[in-house]
Amino acid sequence: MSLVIMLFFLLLSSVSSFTFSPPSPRNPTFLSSTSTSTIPILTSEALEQTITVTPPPYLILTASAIWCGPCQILAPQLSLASEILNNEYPGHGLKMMKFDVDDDDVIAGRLNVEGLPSILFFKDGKLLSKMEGAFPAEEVVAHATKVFSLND
Amino acid sequence: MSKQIVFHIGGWSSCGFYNKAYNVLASLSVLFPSRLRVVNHVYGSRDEYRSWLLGEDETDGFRDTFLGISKANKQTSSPFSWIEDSGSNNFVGGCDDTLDWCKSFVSPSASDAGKEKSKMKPDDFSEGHGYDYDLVVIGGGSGGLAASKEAAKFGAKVAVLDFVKPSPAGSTWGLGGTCVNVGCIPKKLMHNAALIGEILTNDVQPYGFNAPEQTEGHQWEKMRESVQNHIRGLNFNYRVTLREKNVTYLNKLGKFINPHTLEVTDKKGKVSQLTASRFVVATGGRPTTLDCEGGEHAITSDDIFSLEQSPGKTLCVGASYISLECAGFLAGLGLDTTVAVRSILLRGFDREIADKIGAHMEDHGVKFKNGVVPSKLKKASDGKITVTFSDGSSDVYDTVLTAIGRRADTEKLGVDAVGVKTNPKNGKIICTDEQTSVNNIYAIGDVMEGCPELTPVAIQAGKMLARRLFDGSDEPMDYQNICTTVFTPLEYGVVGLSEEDAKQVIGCGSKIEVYHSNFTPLEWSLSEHRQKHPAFCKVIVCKEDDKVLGMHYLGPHAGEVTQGFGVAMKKGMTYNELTNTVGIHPTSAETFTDLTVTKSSGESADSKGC
Repeated sequence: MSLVIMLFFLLLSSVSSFTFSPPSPRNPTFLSSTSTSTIPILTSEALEQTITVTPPPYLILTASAIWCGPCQILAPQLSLASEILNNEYPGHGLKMMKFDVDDDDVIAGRLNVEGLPSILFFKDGKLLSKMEGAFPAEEVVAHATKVFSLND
Repeated sequence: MSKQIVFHIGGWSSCGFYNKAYNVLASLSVLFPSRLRVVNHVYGSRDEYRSWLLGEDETDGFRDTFLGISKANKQTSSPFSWIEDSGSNNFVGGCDDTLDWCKSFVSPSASDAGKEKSKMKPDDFSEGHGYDYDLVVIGGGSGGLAASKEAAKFGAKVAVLDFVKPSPAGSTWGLGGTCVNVGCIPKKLMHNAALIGEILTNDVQPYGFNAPEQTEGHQWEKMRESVQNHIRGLNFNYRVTLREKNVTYLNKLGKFINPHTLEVTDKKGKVSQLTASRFVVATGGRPTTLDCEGGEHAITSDDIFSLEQSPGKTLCVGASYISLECAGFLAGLGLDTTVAVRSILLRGFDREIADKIGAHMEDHGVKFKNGVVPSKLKKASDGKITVTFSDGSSDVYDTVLTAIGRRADTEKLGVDAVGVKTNPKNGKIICTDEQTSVNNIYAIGDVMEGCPELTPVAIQAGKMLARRLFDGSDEPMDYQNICTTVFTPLEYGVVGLSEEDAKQVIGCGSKIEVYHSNFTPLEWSLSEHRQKHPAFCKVIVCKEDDKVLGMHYLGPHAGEVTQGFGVAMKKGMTYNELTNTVGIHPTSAETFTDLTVTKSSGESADSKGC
């Protein structure tokens, strides 16, 4: 009987490693961050430039709002994630930015932002993937590594 | 007793579907001769039938006499049925539609008996109209958003214009209209804050909790921040939903140039134009301002919910539910509150209940100045306002809140210029089944004359209008038996008629019976203070048919208690059905199922325990 259960869990874990789906958010109260830097907030022309006109090779852009609780909790996690990613992959020119959906609602609409916070992953100006919710820094780093194929 | 329905059916003699439908109709007219008369139009052959229905070149047949009803205009099959009503023909449909109609004719459901059809006139809408949009909704509030989303559901190309003109005090807000931003939502949240205050004051100790450290009392700024953050989240959700439902959102102010064209201005002042086949005006209303000297120093409900600092000692001018609800929660939060009443409280509502609400509020700490209006407001350099009243008295307040009524915001809309008739007293648009005097311009919600100023009414009317415009429905909005709740400190839920209106409708007072009860909700029993004003409920019954005409509940959770009874009232509940319902114990709502004492008997209405 226990052998069956063991095989079941083995199967389950192997299946989950092959099907990559965006992780669901954790309880934000357990997150803590040692990072003190803040992510730059872009708006209007500067935002448009960064997304479409002169996009960096790797861009992690977070849609947020001042009234959104989880966004405040995510903020230090993003700073930490940015530090980790730039330390581990220094030559990639990875940029981490934020924008406010109330200030730039047209762009938020164009990017189909539905929940807040939304973390958008762009490579050479092309939107590859999206995370919705407040995540610990490690998960943002893991997702970026996967989506941007940073280890390849 | 409903009048006799004249039902016409056309078909050709060997058609199976025609025979099936006709036979059912014929049987019904035998069973209910006074309610149904059937007129038969039977043709010998299919060709003869088609020649009648489609006409010589398929453009001038009988089906084309149903102007604007595309379903009728396209039908080629047999049978073809319609109802004749006061000289005009109302399309029913083919065999299935006819049988559905027959089923509802026989159904005992009270809402189907004598079901009215919408009296909207056709507005020449056609598929290839060439305008920018099929429908432009002016106003992104409760009614506007509901109508636009429903219309888009049926494939219409829809845009919503929403633009908030700042209040005189400078307040502004996002998408969602009055309810979400400066009405129901923040009101209920702040009312809830006051209820929490009541629990802390009255219930904490008798229920065995230690009294919390109340050194700072209530922090207005914290409550305001929580409420405003929630509202902004709702504004964002509405934006996302419109996008999901394929409705174009335009943050622009519209003005009619002609019945199919709007001049629109964005927040930067840029002007452009857009055209549409149909328009729905859903611009709602705004608070009427105080017109006495210094009236501009007063704020309104547009401002109170986003006030950065506590309003402090407040004067609420007005005796409508807006004034009383605001005064109620302000007092509940510990603020010195006064209400200036010109004549009576809650005009239009049941008198007995209005008086009880006033008495409870007074005991709750709200001061009332009766029979006065402010005649002058003077603002000092420290911001305090000295108000002089019409009776010569005066007092100093930190804040004056004007809640003397609401006006429809139609002057800048340009409706008069295009021929839309409005009521000069309040600016509201006059409609028949939400259609204005200009056929392709419609109106719903607070901006419409005669519409109860309630969010769910606007939403329902908006949805049903969209169905009539884009889904071939002919069902009009039912404005009867709408439940509502006034969120004063002692909440009031009502569905149906007040005692005063019931007496008017039936005739003399002797034809109605009022059953009533004073009771103490169980949860209040442990607190001495709460027992001073018991809860109260009454039902008004028509003696002739035992039908309940009005249900009134004054007590905690009034909205929750009343909602379910709304369905029962729509179905024509009788007093017998109500009292035969087994109550849920122990609740306040169950009191309705146990009402036995009549007002006419003169017996005490106090309940005697369980």
